[in-house]
Amino acid sequence: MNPSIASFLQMLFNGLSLGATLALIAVGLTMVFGVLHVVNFAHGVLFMFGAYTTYFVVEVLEQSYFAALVAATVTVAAISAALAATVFRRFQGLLLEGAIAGILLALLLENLALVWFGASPKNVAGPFTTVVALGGVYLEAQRILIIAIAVVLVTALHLFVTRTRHGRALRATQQDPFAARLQGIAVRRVMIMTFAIGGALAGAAGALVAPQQVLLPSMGQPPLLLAFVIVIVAGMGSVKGSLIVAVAIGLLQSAISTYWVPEAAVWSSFAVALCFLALRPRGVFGNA
Amino acid sequence: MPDSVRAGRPAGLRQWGRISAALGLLAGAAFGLAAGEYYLNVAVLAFLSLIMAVSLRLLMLAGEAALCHGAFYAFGAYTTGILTTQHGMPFWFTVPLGGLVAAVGALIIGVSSFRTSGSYFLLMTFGFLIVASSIIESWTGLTGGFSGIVGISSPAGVDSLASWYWVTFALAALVFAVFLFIESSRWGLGLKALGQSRELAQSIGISPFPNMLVAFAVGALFAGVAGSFYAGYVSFIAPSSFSFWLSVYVLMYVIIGGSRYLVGTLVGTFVLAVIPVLANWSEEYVAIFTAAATLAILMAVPTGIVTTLGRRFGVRTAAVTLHDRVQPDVRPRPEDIPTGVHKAAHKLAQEAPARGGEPPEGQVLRLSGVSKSFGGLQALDDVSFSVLPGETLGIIGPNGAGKTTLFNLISGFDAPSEGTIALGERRLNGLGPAKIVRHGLTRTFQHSSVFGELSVFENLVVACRSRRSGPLHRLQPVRRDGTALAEAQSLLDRFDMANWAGTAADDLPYGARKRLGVAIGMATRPRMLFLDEPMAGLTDPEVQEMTELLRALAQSGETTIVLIEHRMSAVTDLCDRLVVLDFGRVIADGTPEDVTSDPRVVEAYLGGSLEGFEHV
Amino acid sequence: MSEAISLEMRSVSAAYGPVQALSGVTMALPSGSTTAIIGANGAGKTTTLNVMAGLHRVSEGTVVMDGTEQSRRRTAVIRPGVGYSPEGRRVFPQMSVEENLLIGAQHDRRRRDVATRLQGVFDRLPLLHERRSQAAGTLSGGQQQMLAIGRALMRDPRVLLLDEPTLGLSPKMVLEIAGLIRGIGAEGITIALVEQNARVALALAQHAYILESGRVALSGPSAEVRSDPRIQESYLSKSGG
Repeated sequence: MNPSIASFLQMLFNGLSLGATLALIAVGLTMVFGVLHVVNFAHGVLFMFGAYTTYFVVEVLEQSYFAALVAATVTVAAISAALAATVFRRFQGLLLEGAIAGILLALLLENLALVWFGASPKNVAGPFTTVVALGGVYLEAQRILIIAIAVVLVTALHLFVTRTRHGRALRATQQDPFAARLQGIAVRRVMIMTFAIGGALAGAAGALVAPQQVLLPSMGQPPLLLAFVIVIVAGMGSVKGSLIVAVAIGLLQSAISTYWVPEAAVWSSFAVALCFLALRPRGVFGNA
Repeated sequence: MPDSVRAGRPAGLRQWGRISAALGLLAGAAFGLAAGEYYLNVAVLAFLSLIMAVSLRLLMLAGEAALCHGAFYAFGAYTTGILTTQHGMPFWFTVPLGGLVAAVGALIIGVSSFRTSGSYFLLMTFGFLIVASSIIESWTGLTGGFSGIVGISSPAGVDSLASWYWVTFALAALVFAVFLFIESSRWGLGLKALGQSRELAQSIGISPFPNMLVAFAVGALFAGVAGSFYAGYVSFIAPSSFSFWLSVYVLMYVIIGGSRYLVGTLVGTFVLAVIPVLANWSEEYVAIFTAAATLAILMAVPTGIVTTLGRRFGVRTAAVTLHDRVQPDVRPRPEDIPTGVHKAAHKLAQEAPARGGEPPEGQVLRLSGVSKSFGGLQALDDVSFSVLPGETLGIIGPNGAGKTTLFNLISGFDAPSEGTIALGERRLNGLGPAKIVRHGLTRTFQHSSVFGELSVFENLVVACRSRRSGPLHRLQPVRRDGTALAEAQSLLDRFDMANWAGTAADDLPYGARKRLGVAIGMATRPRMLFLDEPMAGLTDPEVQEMTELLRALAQSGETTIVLIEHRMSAVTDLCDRLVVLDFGRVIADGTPEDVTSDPRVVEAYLGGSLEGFEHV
Repeated sequence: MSEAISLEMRSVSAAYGPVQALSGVTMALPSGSTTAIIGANGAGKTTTLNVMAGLHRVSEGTVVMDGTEQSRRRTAVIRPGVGYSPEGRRVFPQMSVEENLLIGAQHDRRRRDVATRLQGVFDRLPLLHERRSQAAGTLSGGQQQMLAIGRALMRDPRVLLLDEPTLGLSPKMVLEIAGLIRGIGAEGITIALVEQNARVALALAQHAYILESGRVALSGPSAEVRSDPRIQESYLSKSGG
């Protein structure tokens, strides 16, 4: 295969897998915003906990990676629900205060992680060592897994939200909390459920990337920034929009790293967000 | 006779302020002479933190928080680092440049994100911080990348730890004094008003965008200066010195200290920056302590840290108010003291030339063909009527008839989809609220009617229009602004609120709060005052009281009154003329007698005839 | 026939922060009949409905439903057995008409019952059936009002609370909604009808209460209230005070 075509396809593949990870993080962030109107700065910490749970299950308990994936999803969902029930429920609709509460939780939890897990980088052995080579394009099995699991989770989420009673309650609460109360929907329970879903997705994302990078307590910060960029560009609260923008940002990052310098990836994504914000203050997919 | 005796006070709080400032300076000096190297180092870093905290606080007065203050600190530090090591520039020249670079950064981020809705600003500053640090990390040629810049030389004459102590001590004291000065100025009070209610602030002529932009840039300037000194002090800077958490910490210092008093920030910085170091904890535990402590406070007071915290922690008992503070000092010139309503009206007529040439009587407000639609909903449909100077006009109509929308259009909070609104010959369409109030049209709000955390007296002072409005005048200390103080005092008396002068507006009984809302409107010296349901929620005797008050205002001839009100008896009693809206259209316009017997009005209120209904 | 009372407020006072919204309101909704609650803006009509639904804290007095005294506290969700069509309709704009109706039966897990009730609402309001897959936000005001009432009926309520159902509707639509309310009342559902449109309310209701500044100013059978000169007064009084 022509090497420039091969490198282009490689860029697409890497961008898709990065986009899939970002989508898992951003969707939770935007759902929480939709229900509570709070920007959850502790969302990156949830991602980090997902990765460390995986480390604990695989390296300490010596269980399989897939058991760890499930454990990370469930554990982080529980942590997120607990944060919602204890802290965030006090800040419904309080943008500034809610954001600051999230920052404080991030500071608290990140440093607790430092105390518990130590500052030294950790590694997790992945389940695959396979790399599928297709005419000059190298498809790492782990990246394929990331894309596959992200598709499965997002589909499951979609079915849950559109087809089930609880999903309907969630959408009703987003659209009009007062009217939801009139239908007998306990808004607080819906809010905790939403945090649990967001946590599950972030935990899964952490578990999925754990074999690909070194684990540090601060590992949640860069993906959190990108997730912010995504939800801002997509319009706060728009799930469909953040899925599309997440993939776009993943591809953009991958393209900049491939054709320019990796260091430029983060700030140029942010520059893109700034331009979008100037043109569409409410986001591309935001309503009104 | 000494002022304090004249005012009947043994010693004003200002004196206490001076005494504690002197004591603080003495304590600082004593510490500098006595402390060992370890503590001097702690103190130098604490002074720099204090500068960061007080400079961040300025924007927070206006109700916004930024997460990129650490980036401005880094800008200052890198400016000094680069200019001194690579260009051999003397340290002292680089300090203002460091501040300037930081201020420019603030202007860039502010211009692009203050116009968007509130939720984005904090996120944008967070993004800016991350981007700034990634640029610092990757622009190796300029910043040295991860390895940073070494060998930044100290300024001439500042070579020992002790001398650094004195320099940073003096700097911190100076900066503290500067911000104390800013906060006590008219501008500072305006920022506080913005932090309390953005829309009410606009309706008394304070525009959010320029004021917040300047506050943000001034804060950044001082953070940059602090950064320059930091670079000179440690002589080695690297990206690791300016992590995300630095910005978070500074924010915590301000939050812990509360919003009401600058001194709180001093205390907050001490508690969070000094105690952990003295206790010799490791970094992680400092973070856990800081986060847990701040979170606990935030949980205890979830609504509005920026507004509520100071009040919760002691302000109620301290009861320090501007009013108490200014009493001893104010010596209004005789011509500043209105002796009564008529004098005030007379004065108003005398000042007329300064307000654009027309006497207050001459101007008619004309609405012609005004329409407004929101999406598919036609809120106002071809509305035309005039407001004549000197009359009292009632706007009535059933729920959802478009009355408040009408006020929003007149006062510039919203733009008409069609039609024109003109005062005399002057078109008002497209002017913002802060501009419209300068043309003499002031509106009040049904809900955010007062600045809740400010004292009653401050509520009035901030709304009193200044005759001069240059930048220097805005920085004039409020307590020296004799005109505004005298006007506020006379409004206090006229609206029978003198006993409440020092009370936070939120603590007023409901009826008094509504009265204060009208007084704030009057403080802007309007030609036309637009009152949105001034009697909503009042008890019957209070309605009576408000009716009398408004009648007195109308009869004094100071202002034309236009009010939206549902208490029909009060409206028919007060108004010379009524305009009735229904479904966004004017269905009647005339004297109260004519309007209330108009069959269309009766129908709008009581409901249409039910002819044919019996067969349904 | 001595009338049973479905829902009763006994000397209820309620406040929004510093503003007293209701002071000592006593009101009874007789079973199976329609009661109109009339008054100017800010008189406390919506607060009355919220108190009945359990959505607003009662500071003094008691609420009794079907003979049982209710908690004074504001509950997380609406009181069981009560259906509520709020002011401004408040349909879920991005959901389909059918989903808006189904969400009314959110509390009910028995699919068969829900399906029966859905069919009942569709039979009553064929227009909703016609538009069942359309997003509710794209309906006209009158259609949204029908949907809001249909959604409240999906709760299978013993007491139906209607807040300003004719507000902002064209005269023709007012008649249609009035007919709908009359039909529901004829089936024996207890209705509390809050209206600014006094003529419509009095034509539909058997009993009426006039609220003024959070107090009951006048009450009685609607025929009496209709002929009371004070009703005209309370809207368009020309006297001072």
